[in-house]
Amino acid sequence: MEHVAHRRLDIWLTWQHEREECRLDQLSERGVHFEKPGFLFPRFHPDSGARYVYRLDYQPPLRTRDAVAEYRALFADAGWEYKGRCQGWQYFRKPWSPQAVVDVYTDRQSVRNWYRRIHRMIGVVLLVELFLAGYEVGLMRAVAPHVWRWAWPLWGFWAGLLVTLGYGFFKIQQKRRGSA
Amino acid sequence: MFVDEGLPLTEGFFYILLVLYSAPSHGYAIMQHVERMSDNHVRIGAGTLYTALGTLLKKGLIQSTPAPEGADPRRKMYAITEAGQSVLRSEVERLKHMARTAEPILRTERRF
Repeated sequence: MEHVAHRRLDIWLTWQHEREECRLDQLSERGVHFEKPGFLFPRFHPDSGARYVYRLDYQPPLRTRDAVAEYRALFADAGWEYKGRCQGWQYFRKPWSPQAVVDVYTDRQSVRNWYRRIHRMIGVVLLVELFLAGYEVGLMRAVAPHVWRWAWPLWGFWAGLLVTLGYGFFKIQQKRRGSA
Repeated sequence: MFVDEGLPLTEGFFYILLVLYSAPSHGYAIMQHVERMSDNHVRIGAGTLYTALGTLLKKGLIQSTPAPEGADPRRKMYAITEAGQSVLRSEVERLKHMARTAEPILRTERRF
């Protein structure tokens, strides 16, 4: 185990947020604690004397400073330490204990609404990417018809992206239905 | 009968309005008060409370109110509105009506 604060690769997709929480909890149990979010490489800090439980909350950008302060204050009052945000996901943690109350969403309606927000966000991204892919294909066929059929790595990238997003959309839809 | 009034309320909405019915309060106090009031049967998590307060504000059932002097400025105070009081009373009537309907049936013996 590394003994200084370090960054480590951490890749997860939006519909895998529960698995990510589990992973952070397990790392913390082993004495490696998530400290600061970062694109692909968040910061971790070793401390064998501590153990935390982590929760992620998806929130679209809050419009005012007061709204941000109020949101964080509510979580702080409930015992959650704010660790930062990345791509709309807010990271919180609290010291682990067997009795620790760790649910952020505590009724069916709010869980359903939360999944609806995530679902809508993936849906919007999927639509934008579909539009961009269609636009790029059309533009290339019109402007450089002799090139477009050789640009298969690009089409592969778009196809992969769209299939992944479509899968994510489907997975969140399943979770939404499961919470109904 | 009660559908047009936005009823039934979720358990969270019901308890938040009930807490605010007696006095304006901030989020953390609402969380604690709901736990005490429900004998620890209902617990409202931070995420649930944050979104519930936003929804109730949007529906006009609660409103922001100035915090008392010296209070933590991060903690926003909320008060129930006239509409909120009316919805809460209607919900209590709805629950009473349901209980009144159910009680005599539950007192009779089942035939099979």
